[in-house]
Amino acid sequence: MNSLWIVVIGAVVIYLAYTYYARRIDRVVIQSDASRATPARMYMDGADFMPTSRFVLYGYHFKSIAAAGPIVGVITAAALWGWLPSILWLMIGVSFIGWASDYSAIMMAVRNDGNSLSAMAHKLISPRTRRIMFVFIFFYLLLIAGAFVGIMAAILAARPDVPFGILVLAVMGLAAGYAIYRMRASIIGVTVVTVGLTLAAMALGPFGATFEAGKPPDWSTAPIAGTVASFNSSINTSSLYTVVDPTNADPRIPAAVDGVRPSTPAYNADTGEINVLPSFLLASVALLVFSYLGANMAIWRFAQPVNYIGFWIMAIVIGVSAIGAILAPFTSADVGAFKLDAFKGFQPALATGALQPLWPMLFVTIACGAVSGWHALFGSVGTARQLEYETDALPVGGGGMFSENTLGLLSLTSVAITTGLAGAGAFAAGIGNLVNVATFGLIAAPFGTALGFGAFVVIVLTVVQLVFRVMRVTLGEWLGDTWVGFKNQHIASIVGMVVTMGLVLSGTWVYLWQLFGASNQLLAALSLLLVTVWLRSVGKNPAYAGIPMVFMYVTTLAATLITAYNLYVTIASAPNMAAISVAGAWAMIAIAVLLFVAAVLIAYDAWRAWGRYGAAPAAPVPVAPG
Amino acid sequence: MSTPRRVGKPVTVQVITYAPTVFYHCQHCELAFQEMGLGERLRRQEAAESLPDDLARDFQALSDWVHSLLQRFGPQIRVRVIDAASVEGVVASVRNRVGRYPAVIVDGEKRIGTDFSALDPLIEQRIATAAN
Repeated sequence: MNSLWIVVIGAVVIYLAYTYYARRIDRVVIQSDASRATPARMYMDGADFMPTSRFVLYGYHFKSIAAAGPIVGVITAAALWGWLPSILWLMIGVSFIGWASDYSAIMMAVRNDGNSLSAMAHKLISPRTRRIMFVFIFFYLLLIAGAFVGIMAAILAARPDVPFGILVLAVMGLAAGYAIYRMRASIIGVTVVTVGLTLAAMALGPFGATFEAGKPPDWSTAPIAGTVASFNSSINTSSLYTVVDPTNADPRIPAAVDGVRPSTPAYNADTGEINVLPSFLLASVALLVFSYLGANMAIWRFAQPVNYIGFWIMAIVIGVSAIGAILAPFTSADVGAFKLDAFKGFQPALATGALQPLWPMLFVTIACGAVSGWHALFGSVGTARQLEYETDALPVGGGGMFSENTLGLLSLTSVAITTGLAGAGAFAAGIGNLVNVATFGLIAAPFGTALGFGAFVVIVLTVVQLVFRVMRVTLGEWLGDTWVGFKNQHIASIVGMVVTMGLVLSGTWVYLWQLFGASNQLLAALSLLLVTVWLRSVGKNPAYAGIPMVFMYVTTLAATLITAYNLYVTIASAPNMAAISVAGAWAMIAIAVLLFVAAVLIAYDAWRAWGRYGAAPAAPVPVAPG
Repeated sequence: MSTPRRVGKPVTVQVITYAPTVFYHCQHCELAFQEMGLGERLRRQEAAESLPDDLARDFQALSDWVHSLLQRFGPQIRVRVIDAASVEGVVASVRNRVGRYPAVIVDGEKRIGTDFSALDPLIEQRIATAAN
């Protein structure tokens, strides 16, 4: 197996699924009709409702749904179960569930005056359902902020060649903001200088280090990474406490050499425990400072230019890697060949006693890229209000989902061509090899790897700084009347960051991710459930949505319970765990139970609605000509 | 059988300028707050902070001028406003060899500066030419 095959398989499956399944559902079941007025045309207000070209809308929809999700989930799953189950779920999930969820949610909203999913839940099922959906949305934000800051801090603490690039990004962001908006300098010059310097800083992090096959890099000879490593050593005098990662995806866990992981200051190979070192704490605080700037400075000073530079970096690194994935089998067969195990078993052996059975855990670990409930939510409130013609829903909604799937496939390729690593480390190493191939050896693999790490952090960081911006506004809105201090943007920002920091320091970012994945997939099940009830209410065959809905519902409920069990067994009830880890674990167990109960309540209400519409179905929608 | 009346090709006015940034790309958060009724408040706050005062005033003047153009000329004119600090802005700047903003390009002829009303005669002339 090699990277070219992934490209071929992806292209063929996506073509077949789109042409012969998605189009058939669109034509026969939904009966999209270009002559029927869409909400965008009926209620055009220049803001929410605005008819938009399907080409523009496709780009907007894709940009809205593709973020770090298809990267983090895929690299974590490949490390746990191997590349074969991951690619199978990516392909089957997107072909039979992912596009159907996104497309159907859009069409349901289009046929119901552009109402959002929660409004549809209120109308079709019960008022209680809308309130329960707010719970999902709130905990999603908390989980995603904690998971993202946790994985970024682990990368910055484990890789001394990465922080310099991120520091330069922050400086370049400030400089670009000043140059563009104060000096009114040429955008071309500013772009070339700031993006070029940031890329160079990311790639030069490992400059001077010694890399030997089968050994960890020797940073001591590197002027940049060596300085960072030396500083880290000076503050890492002792471990603050220990945490465990049953998936071995934490970037602080070193690569295996001949199947055996070595002990490092951050990792005890005998016990499998990760030492939380002061450098990790420092990295977490640094990330929060970065996010604080993004959340509190005027947008033009920091958040906008950082996102602008970050976009170019992400586009360049991902684009060059994609070229490398295609070229590798022809120019460097060894680089493009898959080295990761195809299948590691239905229940990977984990020393910590955690359960990670392939079913249901694979299906929540890989969310975005295969199926994502948040796409459906966004599709219903954003895209559905801008569709010019009903017939645009499939290329925009379904096409956007298939496109995001290709990002997941690239992530899978990156981790599958590396050996001994897992998680973000494998992703970055894979990117490093692909960049090396694409540039015909001009950029050596270690420098490409540093670029991979840098690009990964940039993708995640640009999202996180805006999450905190939104968090502070929310706190002010919700609690500002209770205590006026929450209306102060600095106090509100710090409170949001302290809560997130608590989750980060609990050391459970993988569980945070899986819980996020479960809530995400549960939303996909909910959107499919709504579509199923809607189709029944209008007298159409709901099988294409109903069967995947049952699978997703049962799977995500089971995964939520297993994650709660894992948290209890490996952290909450385990001996010698740090108090903050135990507190974080109990908080997440509570969230898991809450999500489970909420989902059961919605299913109960939906079952009653199903019976109601079965007894008295609404009149079927007239069949469209053609 | 009647022949359709010939309508002149619309005059294209492309404006490359510093534009307010409103973040739509973090759609998960975007969506959450829209559902909670906070979307508009966030949008207004972001827009208010997205440009320094002098550039915000320039953009307001540009916005007023564009609206007046559309009111006066309707389908005879097609206006595109491009944020300079975007990928499209960089491409448009390279293509039109523009390094200072706002830059207004009327059917390929470019003018730099904020005296937008000085462009009206040029636009009127191009519209008259297109109609003949």
